[in-house]
Amino acid sequence: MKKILVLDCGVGNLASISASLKKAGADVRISSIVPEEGFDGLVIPGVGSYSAAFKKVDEQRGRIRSIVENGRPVLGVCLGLQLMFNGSEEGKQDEEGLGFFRGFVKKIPVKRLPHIGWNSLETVRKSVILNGLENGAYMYFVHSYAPLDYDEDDAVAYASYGGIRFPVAFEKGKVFGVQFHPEKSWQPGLRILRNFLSLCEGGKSV
Amino acid sequence: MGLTKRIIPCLDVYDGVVVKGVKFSNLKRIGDPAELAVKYMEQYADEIVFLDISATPEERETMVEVVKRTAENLFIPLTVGGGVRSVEDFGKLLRAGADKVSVNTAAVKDRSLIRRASSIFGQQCVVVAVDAKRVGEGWEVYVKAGKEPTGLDALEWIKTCEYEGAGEILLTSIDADGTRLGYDVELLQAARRSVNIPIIASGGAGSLQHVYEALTRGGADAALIASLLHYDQYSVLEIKKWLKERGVEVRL
Repeated sequence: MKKILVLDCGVGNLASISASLKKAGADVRISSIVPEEGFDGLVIPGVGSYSAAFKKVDEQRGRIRSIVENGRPVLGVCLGLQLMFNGSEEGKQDEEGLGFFRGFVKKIPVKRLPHIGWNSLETVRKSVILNGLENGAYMYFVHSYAPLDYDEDDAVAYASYGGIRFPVAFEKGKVFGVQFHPEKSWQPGLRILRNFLSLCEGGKSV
Repeated sequence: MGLTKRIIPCLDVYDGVVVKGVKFSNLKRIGDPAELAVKYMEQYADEIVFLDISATPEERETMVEVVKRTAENLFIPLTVGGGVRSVEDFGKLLRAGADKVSVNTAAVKDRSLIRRASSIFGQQCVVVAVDAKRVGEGWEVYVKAGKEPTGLDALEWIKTCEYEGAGEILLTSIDADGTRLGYDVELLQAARRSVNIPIIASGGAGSLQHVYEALTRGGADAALIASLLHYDQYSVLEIKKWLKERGVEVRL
């Protein structure tokens, strides 16, 4: 069974992400510290406040970076994805993101926020993370910010809301990020988590 | 293609069991919350709401266990409300696996609860439930399960909720609730003009046409459904197919 570490950023509900990862077939461990070994993939979840999550990710920055450098898969969800960019309008100026994806997170320029509910995806290229999903699949979103400044090469799917089209799924090597919540998106969401698990090499570590 | 309108089954839970009854009397047991929630998920429900109508703190502890059991198998958002009084109550339910918590009377008593919960747990998990009753030209907020008037103007109150950091408003018309004669569309329209956060329409659904009107003319983002489902009149899937045929974007 693939061992997945879920980074505990403090106050959020981790029950949802752990339950769905388990359903997808993972052996889940929740920890606020990223160890060097003992897991096959890392999930940075997306709940709680920005600064709380930033603080935790910042503390573990070195470890997270070395996981990526060693080619172990990492998945960022919602806020977890946003922390993978260079920075965010929601954070302070010196709160520098992980920078796995080049770009900046901004408030979506529409009147009606937060963007809450099921929104269809428009996939723009073949990807590992969205493998097997039909174009137009619905995912559950809850956010007001998104990486509006980004590298087009990293984006694999978009969503349209309030007349604005923005990227919502990213893939670069074994670094993945989604703006929506696969753990709350029933079957299509579970499919994404299974895709992620399939990239994690199980059985190597104890 | 874009954001869909949501259909949200609401389950009244009393001491760990889903019940139905008319105005809190003649309660009849209809099933296990965790099982019913999964059944509705499989019918394409967009979210699930559990409303705890228990009267005692002991019975509320049962709810935490119910949420834990439910969260293991429910892969769509779960909102839990009823008797939520403090930031600690929010934390307890969220840790048990709820994705959102709804608060009603306690927020009216102390509006800072909205801001405190929102800043700790995030705006996305704070749903303010507002029970409104038509008074003259406007609507007044009632609390304590719709029994006690507050003197607050409902539209002013939902603006305050948005300002304090509420993520969504669950808006129930006391006049329409239980009548099965349709949602109060005028209330929904007035609320829609007052705030930008999503509005979930509640109270009065007796037919598919009523749901359609709340989501179109009323401008609601979501419709809470209770009796339409409980009497096995329709499945969630049937409701959504009907709406789709009439041009409402829903997830199927």
